[in-house]
Amino acid sequence: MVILIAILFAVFLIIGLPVAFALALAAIPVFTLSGTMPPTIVLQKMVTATQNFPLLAVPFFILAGNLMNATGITKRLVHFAGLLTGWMAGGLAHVSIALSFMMGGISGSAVADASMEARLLGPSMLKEGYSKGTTAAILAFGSIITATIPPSIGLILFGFINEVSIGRLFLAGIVPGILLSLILMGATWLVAKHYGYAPEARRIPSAREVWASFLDSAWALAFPVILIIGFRFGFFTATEAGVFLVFYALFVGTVVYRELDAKRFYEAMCQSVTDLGMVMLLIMMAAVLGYAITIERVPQEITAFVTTLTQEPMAILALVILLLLVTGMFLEGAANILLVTPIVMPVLMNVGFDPVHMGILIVLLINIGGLTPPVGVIMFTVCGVLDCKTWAYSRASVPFFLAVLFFLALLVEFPALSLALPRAVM
Amino acid sequence: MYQRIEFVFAVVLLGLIVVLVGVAAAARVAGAPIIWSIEVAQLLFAWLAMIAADLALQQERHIGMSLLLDALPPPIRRYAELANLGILLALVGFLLVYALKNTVLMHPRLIGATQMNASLVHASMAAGLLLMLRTLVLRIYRGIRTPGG
Repeated sequence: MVILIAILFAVFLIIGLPVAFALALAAIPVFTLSGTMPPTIVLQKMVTATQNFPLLAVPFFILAGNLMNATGITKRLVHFAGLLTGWMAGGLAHVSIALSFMMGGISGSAVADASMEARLLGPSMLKEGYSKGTTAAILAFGSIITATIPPSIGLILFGFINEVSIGRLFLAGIVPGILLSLILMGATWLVAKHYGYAPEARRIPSAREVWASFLDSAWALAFPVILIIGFRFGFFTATEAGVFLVFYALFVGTVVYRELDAKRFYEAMCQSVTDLGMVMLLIMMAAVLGYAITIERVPQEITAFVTTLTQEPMAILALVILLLLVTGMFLEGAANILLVTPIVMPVLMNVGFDPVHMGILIVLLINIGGLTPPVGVIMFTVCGVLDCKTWAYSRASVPFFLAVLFFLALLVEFPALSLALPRAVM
Repeated sequence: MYQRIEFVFAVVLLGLIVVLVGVAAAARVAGAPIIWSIEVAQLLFAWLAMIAADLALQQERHIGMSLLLDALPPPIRRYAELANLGILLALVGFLLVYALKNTVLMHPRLIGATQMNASLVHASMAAGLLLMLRTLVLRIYRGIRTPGG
């Protein structure tokens, strides 16, 4: 039965059905062929997936992000990132990475960030003489920073499906996000030196300019900070924080920047609804398939199987990392988190890994899968917008891939990078 | 037109959910928690999720792999896409039948502090699937009528 599920899912995915429907189609034989479980359970599991308080955070953070975008915050952040990093060698490339870091506090999705930046910064990078491959690689790799900075939708989904505190996951992502940004900027600097890419700004900005621009974009930069303070003092749960951020975004848009009018507000709502429809159907169908594979005792069998292979925690982690890199190449981030993590988490926790530490690592790994050929979602998005050939992208991405591997090694070796902040705060 | 009504409906639901959870949080902080507000928000969320899923289906926003489809020559690709829509139609139809049965099945159950009929929540699946059925039929109809498109 397990093999049947896997084959069905693969076939439906390859012929081009949307992932959410492929999940449901793969699960249905469990309910129709077994004879013990009526298919009405499928519907009940779909409903149960929506009746979950932590999961209500998803619509709120999606809406808050879209509202923030509609307030004109993005152009302020671009300006600020430009002032901060534009004067270094390979200035525009640094701007894109700094922007991903700041946008992480708003958009929460690497693919959305990558496509936004490819449209916004891609053309000017090409004009400055960056090759297409390098431009695409920098934009794509920078976007995965978004996955660790709160409020990341990936972390919410991970917390939901594996029953890990979303607040802790949010806090745990911050230090790795900063570190990843610095490491990628280091790699960018080396690449820029090698190709002789010029700084974007000809001079170092004055402190006054930076300060003015900081104040102008402070409202967006405060987003993750407010979350931390809120969790620290127990003002709110992750879900309530989402609602708070929606009202906060409304306040910034209407009172502070005064760029959010009724039309833009309605558009942001509509955009959020379709984003939500995509994610929620995925969640509901993944809940159905998740139930089916639990009934078939797949997680237990896999745990047992892996334990017969090796008992060594690091070897098991290496296996999981390999698996996630591979599934990350073929499956989009949210689907991957919902589908694969419930299977691998019991194995990892069985040998003593911390679920929060693993959450950060896994969400990053899945996004890295989106960067790599043959079918990385982020790669497709960026290369699609820039009209860049896959091989040019692949060649240019080698230094960044090495940088990310170095970062992953640090993250595995030093759990404190992710765990210190939640332990200190919560 | 229908799409616009559906969008307005979904936007109103989303707005209500934000307000309900916001009010509940404020009331809790103020020391006078409201019990029913979260329950109603979750009920509405089930409806919102399904309507939103249909809207995403209309706008072809549900992600999938297009590697194989992209590799096909356009005329064959068109038939492949129609066949895929046919599979989805069968799936949604199948689920709809059981969604209706399930709604009836769930009706006598009373849930939460509000003691509302569970069918109120479960009916959202039937409604959403019905909307998707309509969307798929329309998409197939358009796909057959427009040659090459």
